[in-house]
Amino acid sequence: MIIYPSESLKNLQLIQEIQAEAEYTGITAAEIRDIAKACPVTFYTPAFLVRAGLFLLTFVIICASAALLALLFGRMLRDRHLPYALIIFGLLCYAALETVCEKYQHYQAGTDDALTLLSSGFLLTGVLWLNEISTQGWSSSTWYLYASLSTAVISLWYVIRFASRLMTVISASAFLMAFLTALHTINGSGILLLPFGALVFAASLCWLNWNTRIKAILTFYRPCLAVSLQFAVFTAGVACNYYIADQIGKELSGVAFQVPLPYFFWAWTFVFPLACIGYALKKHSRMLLNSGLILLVAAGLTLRYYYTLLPLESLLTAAGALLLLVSWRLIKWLKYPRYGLTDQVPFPQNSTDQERIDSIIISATLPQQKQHIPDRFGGGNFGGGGSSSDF
Amino acid sequence: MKKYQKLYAAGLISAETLNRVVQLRAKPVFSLHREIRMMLYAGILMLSTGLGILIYQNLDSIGHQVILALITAITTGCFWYTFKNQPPYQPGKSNSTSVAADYILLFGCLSLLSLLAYLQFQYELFGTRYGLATFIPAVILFFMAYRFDHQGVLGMAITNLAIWMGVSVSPKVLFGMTRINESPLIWTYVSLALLLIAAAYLSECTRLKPHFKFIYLHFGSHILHLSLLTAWFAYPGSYHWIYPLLTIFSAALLYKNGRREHSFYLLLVQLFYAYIAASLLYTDWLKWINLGSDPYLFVLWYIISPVLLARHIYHLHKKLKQQ
Repeated sequence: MIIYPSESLKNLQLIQEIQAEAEYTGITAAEIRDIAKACPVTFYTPAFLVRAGLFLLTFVIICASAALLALLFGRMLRDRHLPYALIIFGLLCYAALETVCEKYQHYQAGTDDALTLLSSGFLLTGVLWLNEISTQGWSSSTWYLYASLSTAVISLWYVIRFASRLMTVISASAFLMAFLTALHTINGSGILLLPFGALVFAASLCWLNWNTRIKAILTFYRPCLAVSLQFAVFTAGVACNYYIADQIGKELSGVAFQVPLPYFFWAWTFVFPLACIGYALKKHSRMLLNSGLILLVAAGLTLRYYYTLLPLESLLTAAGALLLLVSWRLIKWLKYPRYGLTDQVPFPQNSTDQERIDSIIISATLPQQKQHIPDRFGGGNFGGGGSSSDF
Repeated sequence: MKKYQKLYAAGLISAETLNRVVQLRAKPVFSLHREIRMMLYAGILMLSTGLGILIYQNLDSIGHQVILALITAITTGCFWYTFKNQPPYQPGKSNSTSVAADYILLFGCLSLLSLLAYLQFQYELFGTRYGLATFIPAVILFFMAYRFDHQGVLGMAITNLAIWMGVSVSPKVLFGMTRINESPLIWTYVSLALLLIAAAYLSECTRLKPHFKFIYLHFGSHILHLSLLTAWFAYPGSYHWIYPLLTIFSAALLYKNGRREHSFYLLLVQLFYAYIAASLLYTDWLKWINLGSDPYLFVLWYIISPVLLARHIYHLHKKLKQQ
């Protein structure tokens, strides 16, 4: 089903795994070169910058082509023909995507990313627009269910055919949306169904990822499976977060809504991220660790939203000092590996690029010194006939 | 493990590498290097912001001398720790021995900026010589960047140099073009960019921290091209086509340098700015030959030119990878 040759996909996965483990295994660049020679990959997979550049250029080309077609045939079209025009243009883009991937073997090269996004976007807009015209009598929930299922099916095809990670996220989100809409349609008053429904959905995605038999069948979709696992972790963390449960309840049943089982939701808000972090440290999973850290920050923000324990400035100071202290202690403590954890990798790779990126981020994000512009009118806090307090 | 055994059997990895993999499997390690660095950076940002607001809000109750003493103590402490823990100065690239010292230096530099700003605001340390109040922090930051080989502090120093010249180089200002299009500022931006590009070549020629060249060129090329392109909008006259032409010329010079250095990032930046400039020139040319209102010629340009540019990027990337 997948458009790419299986041999090249297998070889690419092997090389990527070996490169990712190089800072632990100490495999040399020459050895990696030898492996790449022995396991040839026919794909064109450029570095991130080239990928971004090709994405942008493909985007411009497609938009300009759409404009040219509109100029050529626009006068012949009427309003009711527009959805068909979008579907036809989407199919043309899809044909271009098939050619680029099959003939030119572009894999995560920017061109295929842009064509995937644009062709699916045109197709989906066309399909939804077409059906909006013919299904005007539908209730809003039926329409949401239809829209999310259409999105899920179209994006799932892109996942199956091109192993696109972006489409995996879109497809999983659309399936989740369809599932929750169906639950809400079946039992409109059961607000608690939604967070627990999302939890069930996340659990099924996790099962899909951990089932070894399914993993063996979907071996060429390993990057998509990894993305879907991350999506499942975020869904599980967010689904029973107190803030989300509260906001969804208020949205669906009115402002006077009180979250049922508040202790459970508060406990989940904090315990789930901590459990993720703990499990990640035990299983050495960077994906779970990063997800846990992001969810922990979200938990902190949730607490801050409902309870003002400290004024913002004191909170920032205390949290900053605590973070500095913890990281300093961690650096000291992990100077030598403990419990399988360490601060430094055994074989650090070239860090020049990282240093450059750090420096650009620092100059862009750190607060700048203000220019001292002289007071042209000699100051006076209460002057100017009370027009302002500082002029 | 199996894959490494297969690779060893095929003679693609050495016995030494396989041994390391076996040892790693027996005693696996997991590095928290990136996460700890992220925590350090977040901590510095939060602490400096929180302290700044706290001090500002409690000026009357704490007293200026106490606040000054506190900031001075923090700054001195940070610099003392850095001088103690970092290797001595050397003109080439020196590898930092401590991640904590790198971030403490960053915090020290931020506190130093606050201290000087506070002294100027409250006690007018530099009197009415306002330029001096921004020039001295820039000089100190440049010194710290070169002394401790810190590219982050170099970025801060460049930002402060820009402030001394009366402009801001934050991405929000540069890419939003909010203040950049005020006519006198465009030339200040151009001068700053030329200064930075000159600094880049000087670091290479004198072998004084030659790896800083990339940071200088990154700032220099973005500022130069953005200000020249902004001039096209800011000075609508009969000769405003000169600005895109200048952009193409400067991009071509920097492109030549990028080819020599095999820096794909710099090459890509030059190509994109030159492409934007060429598109502006094409629009001007269409207007000049009285075809400005023809949509077909306009749309065709945006179909043909990106194809050619994408082809060039594809071949360039291939060539650079082979070298």
